[in-house]
Amino acid sequence: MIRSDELDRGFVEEILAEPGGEHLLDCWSCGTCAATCLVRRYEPSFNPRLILHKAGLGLREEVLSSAEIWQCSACDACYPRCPKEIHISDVMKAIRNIAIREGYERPGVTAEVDVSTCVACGICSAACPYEAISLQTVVWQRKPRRAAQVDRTLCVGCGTCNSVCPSSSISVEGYTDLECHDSLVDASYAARPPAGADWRGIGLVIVCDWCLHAASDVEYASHPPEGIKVINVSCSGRVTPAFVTTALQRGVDSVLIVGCKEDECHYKQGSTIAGGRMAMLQSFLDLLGVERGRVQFARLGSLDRGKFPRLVDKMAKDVRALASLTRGN
Amino acid sequence: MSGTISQPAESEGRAVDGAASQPQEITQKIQEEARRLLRDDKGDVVIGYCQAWDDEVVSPCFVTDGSQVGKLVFNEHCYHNLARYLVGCEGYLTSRFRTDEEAPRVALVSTPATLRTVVGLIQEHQFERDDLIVLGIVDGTPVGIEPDVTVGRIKVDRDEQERVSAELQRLEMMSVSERWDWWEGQFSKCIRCYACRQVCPFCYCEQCIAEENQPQWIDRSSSPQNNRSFHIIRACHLIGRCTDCGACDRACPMNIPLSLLYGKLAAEVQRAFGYVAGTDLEATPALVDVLASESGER
Repeated sequence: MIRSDELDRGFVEEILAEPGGEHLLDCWSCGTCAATCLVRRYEPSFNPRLILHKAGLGLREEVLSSAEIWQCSACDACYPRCPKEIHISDVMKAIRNIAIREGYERPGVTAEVDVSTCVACGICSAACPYEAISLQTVVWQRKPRRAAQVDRTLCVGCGTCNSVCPSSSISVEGYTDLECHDSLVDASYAARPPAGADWRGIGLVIVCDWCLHAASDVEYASHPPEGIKVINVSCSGRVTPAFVTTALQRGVDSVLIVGCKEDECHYKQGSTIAGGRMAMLQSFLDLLGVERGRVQFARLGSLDRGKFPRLVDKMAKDVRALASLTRGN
Repeated sequence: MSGTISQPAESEGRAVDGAASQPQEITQKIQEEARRLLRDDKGDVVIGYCQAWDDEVVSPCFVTDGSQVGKLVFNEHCYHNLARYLVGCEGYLTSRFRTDEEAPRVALVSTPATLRTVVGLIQEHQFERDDLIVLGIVDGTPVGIEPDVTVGRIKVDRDEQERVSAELQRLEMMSVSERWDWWEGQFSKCIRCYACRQVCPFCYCEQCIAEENQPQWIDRSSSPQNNRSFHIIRACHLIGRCTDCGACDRACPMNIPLSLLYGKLAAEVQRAFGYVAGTDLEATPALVDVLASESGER
């Protein structure tokens, strides 16, 4: 129950005064944002409409202490669909800024830096879509040393930093190098044909957590055709060339990486970085005698329902015809 | 590839802006500058080249004393990328371990490839432009910084560039499986000594993915498959950073043609992203700048 004498009009004024928060009271509570929001697949309690409504009522404590205000990744899937043209991720950011000022902290995992191996090259900070990483002087073994540091209030844990780090010094729990390596290796072995099978050719699909929009596509991903395994990563920007070489070395014949369409990337620029890197990797592999078709990168947009099963089915068919990469080694 | 000095007899060398200097002139100028820097207490160490055991061999040399300045030379064999000595855990300028007051004032004899490397290292925050006195040798190709002192001009080694592109073309004419077999022969030679990595100025990480064992992305035994993975991953770590100086190729004791791999890398980065590493000091760390600059999707 909401008691009207507990509503804090000052909180509403504060949000309206915060850059990005100006349009808070424009909201009609139609719920189109919630219907579009991808975060809801993993966090069913997340509902941008409710947050805006509660904030508009002035429920200061309830809004600032909730985990939901930190879960929006600013992918802006809702923005073009909002009939009132409210830039919802900006409103969220305004609310978060107030929360940060009042000493609230982001719950959940964020990127962590291993100071002992970080070489302070700043590549992660340039890659971070949220400008959450900066180079700072820290004390390491009683000596000052420069290293990358993560601003926990800004990091959303996409893992793009991990994939660009040359010294593997930054990682996000859940998608650390070790966890990704293990799931790659497990999937590579699990995809192999059973003894006595009359087919050969196995494929690995590395798919980002956010690019499958239709429930039927998600369902398909959990039951792929024979010889194909699907593993998940936080973002296609998390995929490094080492993922691909590891899979190929474990006997995988073909690797398909699936990310979001460029302007629909859940983590802003993760899939752009992935696209550039995969194009470069493909040209190396081509020079080294690996057919271009073996390693592919595909993008899926929110309107591409049913495209994922088609891509994977085609891959499952093509991979049967590919010769073994190790050629009898 | 790094430029080398053209011999006076070779009239074929195509001109760059300004006439090329004689090796003796460059040597003289380097010695003069080194002497001046050490005498006026403007620098603590001059990193350059000195004659080694043979007329055709030079080695890197570190002059800290005015009386040793005479050792410094420059000739057509001076192609080492001396920027390697600025970075890494024992590097002269590795700023992450030192406060500003502790850093030595270093002067570096820099060929054009070294100049581009210096630009890349500054982009990656390994040191600041003002930390280094650059004694530059230019050849008219674009570099992202102006040397503090230009000690000479050399000509671009077109022969080497043409050799690499001809070899790349030959490879591209082959079928995919012929290419695989050709590289299989090359990679089977690799003994995983990591000389290519040790000599590379951009491989300054203290912990290399090649030696990581939790997880072990690259198996350490030297089978052609493992070697192939190592070279692919190393190349991918150098996208948009490699200045194609050719140091790894020359350091390889097994003569694996790494210049083909890195020549291809530089060419692809330029083709796909219009970016030449080391030519723009203002660019963000290049790996990302390159990857995010344009969609790489085919």
